[in-house]
Amino acid sequence: MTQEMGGPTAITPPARPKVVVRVGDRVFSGSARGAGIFILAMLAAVSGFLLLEGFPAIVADPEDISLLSGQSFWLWVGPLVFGTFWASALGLLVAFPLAIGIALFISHYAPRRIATTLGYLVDLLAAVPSVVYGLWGAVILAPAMQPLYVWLEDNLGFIPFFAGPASGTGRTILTAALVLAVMVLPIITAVSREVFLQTPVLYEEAALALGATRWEMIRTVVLPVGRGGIISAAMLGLGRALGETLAVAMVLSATGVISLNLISSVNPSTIAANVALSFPEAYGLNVNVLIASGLILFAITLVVNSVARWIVNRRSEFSGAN
Amino acid sequence: MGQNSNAFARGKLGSSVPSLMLVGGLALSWTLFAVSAPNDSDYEINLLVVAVVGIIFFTLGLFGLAVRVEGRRRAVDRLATILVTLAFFIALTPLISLIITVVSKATKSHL
Repeated sequence: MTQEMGGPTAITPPARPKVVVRVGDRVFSGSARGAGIFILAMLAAVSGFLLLEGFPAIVADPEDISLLSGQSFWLWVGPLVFGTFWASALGLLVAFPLAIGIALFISHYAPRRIATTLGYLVDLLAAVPSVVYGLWGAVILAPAMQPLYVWLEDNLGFIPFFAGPASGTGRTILTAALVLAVMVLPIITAVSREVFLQTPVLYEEAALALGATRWEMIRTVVLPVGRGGIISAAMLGLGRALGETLAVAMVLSATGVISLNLISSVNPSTIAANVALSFPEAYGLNVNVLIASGLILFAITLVVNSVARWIVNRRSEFSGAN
Repeated sequence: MGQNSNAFARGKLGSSVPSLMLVGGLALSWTLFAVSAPNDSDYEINLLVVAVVGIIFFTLGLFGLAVRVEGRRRAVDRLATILVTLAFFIALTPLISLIITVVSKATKSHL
């Protein structure tokens, strides 16, 4: 920077003064660094709090804690961890293919002029508060699904998932999973839509020029190029489904069991929903038990999100955009 | 339709075929449900079920027809188009249901 270029310039300016650090630069770098440190400190504080407050519940005698009703903490939290994964996995199973389809529809099928508007329409799903989803799931979706559950029990009852007896209210883990699916749908759609739009046009046109149909073009170009993005979109959706509290708490009628039965009224709860429902009347060590289960949820979510990041970073170098 | 004299359009389904098939599938589904309905004044045909079954008829019918006329690759392409479009409209149903519920229940004085 300080080197002068040689040349027939009439006026050679004096050696450049040292780079002036303006107030704006200092404010920006300071606030950026501050924000970075702040978020790490918050994370450390949260995990520190969870560890400190959760630890007593793990080591305490289960007899002293009314919430555990005599069983050990790990036995108590097991069904909750299972329920969390089970509901999220079911939700993701429903949402993922749908979201990929929607993203493809918006990026490659819908008429160009209205595609963006349709994208906003799907994004609108993300704008609905989770308490409204909870109400909708409990008041509309559950009664609407109930006859289907009866039908499933009558006709497919030999499959363990539909063993029944069918819930009379429809507030089963499957209903909760469907609500979760609707909630994670916009995230997965938005991310994969952006990924699909970034497919190199040259590849797409090359595939079409070789005689591929639109679907063959998507299968051979768009999906492979976007694979990393699709995976990370799914993981982001999973992360949201794992932590979703209110909708599950409002929809699901839960008992602390491990059960693969999708349509009965005996369902495993999820960690987050259980904390929300049990916290108001918790006292003493019960609070610590709930916080310890929160610690486990925190760890699960952290792992899921880290894996998603890792996959995205690993894949980004082969994204085909380079 | 009949024998098509245009050499470039041979071996392809006309552009109006999918929409005709959709109408046909829905009509077939409705007829089936209407015929099989028990003779009971309380019985109401669930339009959602009719639509779902009709769309299944439409998808299978168009796919089958396309396999015969256009060949497997184009038929799969049509199938993918239908499924992708369906995915979008399935995603819209909760949104529409939500809006209808919120508005209708909120404007009433009781739940």
